[in-house]
Amino acid sequence: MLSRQRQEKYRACYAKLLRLYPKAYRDRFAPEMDQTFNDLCRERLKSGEGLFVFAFETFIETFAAILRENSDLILHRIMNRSSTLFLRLVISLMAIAALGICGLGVPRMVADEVSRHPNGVGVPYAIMVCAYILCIPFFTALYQGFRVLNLIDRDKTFSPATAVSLRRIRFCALVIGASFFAGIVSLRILSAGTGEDAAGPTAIAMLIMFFCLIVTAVSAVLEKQVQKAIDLKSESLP
Amino acid sequence: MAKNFPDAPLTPAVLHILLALSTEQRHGYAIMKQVESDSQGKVKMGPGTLYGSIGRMLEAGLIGESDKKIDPDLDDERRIYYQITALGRKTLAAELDRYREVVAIAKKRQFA
Repeated sequence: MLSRQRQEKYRACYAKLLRLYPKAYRDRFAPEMDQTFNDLCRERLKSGEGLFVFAFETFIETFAAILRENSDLILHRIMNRSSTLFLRLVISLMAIAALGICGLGVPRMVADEVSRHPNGVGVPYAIMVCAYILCIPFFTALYQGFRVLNLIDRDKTFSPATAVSLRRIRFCALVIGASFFAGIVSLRILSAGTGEDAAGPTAIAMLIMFFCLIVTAVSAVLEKQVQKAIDLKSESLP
Repeated sequence: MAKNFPDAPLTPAVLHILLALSTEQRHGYAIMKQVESDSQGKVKMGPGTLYGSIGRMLEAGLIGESDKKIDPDLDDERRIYYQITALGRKTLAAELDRYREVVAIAKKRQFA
C-alpha cells in the first residue's frame, strides 16, 4: 500500500516535470511518457526493488531530454529567422540611430544655432518640429519593414498583407523625400536672403532624398512582384 | 535517405528502436524492454531518450503510428503502437550493411 502511494507520488511529480517540454512535444508525447513511467514503476515494485533511485535517475534523464528538446526548438526558430536576422538588426540600428538623432542631435543643433543667432526668426525651432513630425512616417516605415520580415518568416511572403506593408513603406518614403525636398528649397531661399552657406545641410538632405528615392523604387517593384504572385496564385486555384 | 538521418551512422538508440520494430508493432514501454533485451542490458533508454528518438524518427518517416490498443500483459490503458515504415526498413538495411562492411575490413586486417 505504501509502495502504491509512493508510485502515485512519483508519477504526479513526473507529470509536473513533463510540463517543461515545449507545448507541441508535450501535447504529443506527455501522456505516453507518463504511461511508460508508470509501467516502469510497476515493474520495479513487482520485482521488489525500490523506487527512489529509479525515479531520481529517470527524472534526471528526462530533464536532460527536456533541455535538448527546448534547445532544439530555440535553434530551429533562430535558423528559420536567420535569413531575416540581418535585416532585423539593420532596422533596429536605424531606429536606434533615429532616436539618438532626434533625442540628442537635433536639440543640440538647435541650441547651437540659437546661440549663434539669438535674434533669429525661429527657423531652427521650425526645423526641429519638422524633424519630429517626420519621425512618424520614418518609424511607421520601420515598423512596416518588421511586419514584412515577420510575414517572410511565416512563409507568407506573397500575401496581401505584404503588399499593403510595402505600399505603406513606399508612401512613407515618398512623404519623407518630398518633405526634405521642400525643406531644401525653403533653406536655399532663406539662405539666399541671409547670405549664409547652406551647402552642408543641402548635401545631407539630398543624401536622405536619394535614399528615400531608392526605398520608394524598391518597394514599388517588390509590391508589383508580390501582387503578380498573389494574382497567379488565385488564378491557379480551382 | 530521411532528412534528419543523412548518410551518417544511426545512433544506438535509433538503431535498436528500428530493430525492435522490425519484427512487430510495439508500444513505447515494449520498445524499451525489447531494446534492453536485444542489447543484453548494454543499451538502456529512459522515457526521455526513447520518446525523443521516436519523435525524430516519426518526423523522418522511419516509423509510423499504428493502432491505439490495450496491451493484455499490462493494464487496461490504451497505448499507441508504432510500426517500422518502408523507409525505416531501407535505412536499417543500409545501416546493417555498413556494419557488415566494417566487420569485413576488421576481419581482413585480422582484428576480429
